[in-house]
Amino acid sequence: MRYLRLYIHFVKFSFSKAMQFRVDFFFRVLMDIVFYLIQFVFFSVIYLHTDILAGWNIEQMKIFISGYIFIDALNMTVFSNNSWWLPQHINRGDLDYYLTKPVSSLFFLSLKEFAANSFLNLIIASGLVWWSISTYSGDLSAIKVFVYILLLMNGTLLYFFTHFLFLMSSFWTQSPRGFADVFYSVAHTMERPDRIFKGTARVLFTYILPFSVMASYPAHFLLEDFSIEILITMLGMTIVLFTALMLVWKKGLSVYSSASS
Amino acid sequence: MNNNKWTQHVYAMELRKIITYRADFWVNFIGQTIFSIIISYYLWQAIFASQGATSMKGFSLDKIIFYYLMVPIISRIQQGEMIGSISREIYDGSLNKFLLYPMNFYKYKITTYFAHSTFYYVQLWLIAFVYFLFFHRGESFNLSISNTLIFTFVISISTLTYFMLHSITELIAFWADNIWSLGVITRFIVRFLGGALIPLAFFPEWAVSLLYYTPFPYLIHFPMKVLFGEIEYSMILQNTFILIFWTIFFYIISKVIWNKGKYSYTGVGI
Repeated sequence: MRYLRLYIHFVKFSFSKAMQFRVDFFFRVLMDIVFYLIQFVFFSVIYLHTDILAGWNIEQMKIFISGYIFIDALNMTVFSNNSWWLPQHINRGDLDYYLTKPVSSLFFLSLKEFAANSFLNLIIASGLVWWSISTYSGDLSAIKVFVYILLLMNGTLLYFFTHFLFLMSSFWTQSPRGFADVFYSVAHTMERPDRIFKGTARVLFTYILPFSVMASYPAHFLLEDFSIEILITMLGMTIVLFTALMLVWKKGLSVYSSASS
Repeated sequence: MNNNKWTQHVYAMELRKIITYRADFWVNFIGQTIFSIIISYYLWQAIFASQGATSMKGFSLDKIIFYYLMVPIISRIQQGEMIGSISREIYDGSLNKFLLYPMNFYKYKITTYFAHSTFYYVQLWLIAFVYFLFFHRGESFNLSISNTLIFTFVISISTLTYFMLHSITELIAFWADNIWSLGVITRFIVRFLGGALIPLAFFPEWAVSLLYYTPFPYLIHFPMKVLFGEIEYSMILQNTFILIFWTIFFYIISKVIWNKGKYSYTGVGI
């Protein structure tokens, strides 16, 4: 309850802060709209040259695209403004500020900044999910749609855990960026249907860097016959990554020197 | 210190800055290359397999993989670490030094910009070398020395074009706080309409002919055509002039904004 009250304060504060930077607010919204547009055009161009990609037609692909756009928007709204700053905090020694507060430092660091401008994009992304589902010609039950949304939220958590794990490398490298650039390269895997990957790549992107699980698995759950394997894999990966995050965080703090580099 | 000496010092200093965090640098470099190649390989393999084709729009799988190896680094050569490099200084007041010191703002920024580009340029050939040593099958394309030299020239100009284009968005910081996202929008648009996400050969013809009225195809699509030796010398000359035209065009706009903006600059930071 205490943490919920604290989070409500974070959200309120973030909205009033966002209103101070109105131009930035507008550009942030525009930026994500351009990103969404490019995703749809990208696959539309591909579907000019093929009817089926990884077992999905363009209608099913629209559901998949809007799914990962939703994950991106939710992550941008809730987590990314915080994640981006983590390596900088470590590099400059600013982490002290978070460590000395009487709340969980990981909670404070990951949720302090709520991106009010991205919240508008989250509404747009939710609209895209609704549009792709409502225009789909196949049968989709309400319960499946409901679980699909939950799985997309779970996918967002997986995305955030993975992002944070990459950024925590700064504890050891002291760099102000961590392995952010590698993360952004590998994160594109989430934007590709999982079934294009074969062999080792498929195992890698499912069980080690679970980007294929984040958006593709929810889409499989929605579009195909019920599969308990999907639910187990998503839940299992969430537990594994959360445990890894906590362990690496503890290890990282033990080597954190606090001094600015 | 004479004119050339200070640019040499700034250039060398910037290079040293880039490799300060060596572990980061190498992990990011190798990781980015490996993952971008894995993702594009599997995507295009699936597309080729779905059509049962060995070649599409003049691309074999081998050639398209090389394309996706080169294009992200070309983007990095052109885009460097530009986002925020000017706007942040306007925002926090550190632009003061450019107004007080006897050095040209554009010259300083271009020097630091090209230091990053040089680094990525070396990476580009390192990757190309590894590719040709281990993965190239040799049937679909080959690179010639003359093409790689012209490519280097074209890339240098396109880097300058991108710098000028991006400086326009950065200088808007004179009037607006925090315009980081505007830089990202420019990056998205250049990458997509320049052919970095999908080669322009796969776009509908009407879209490609429209795009040639914009600077975007000249930034990525054109240098890759030069590298593959798929463009005649007369066209190379023509496209290079168009690229120079866009560079001058963006420079004029950027300079107008700079001249206007510096009078509304308070120099105290926000």
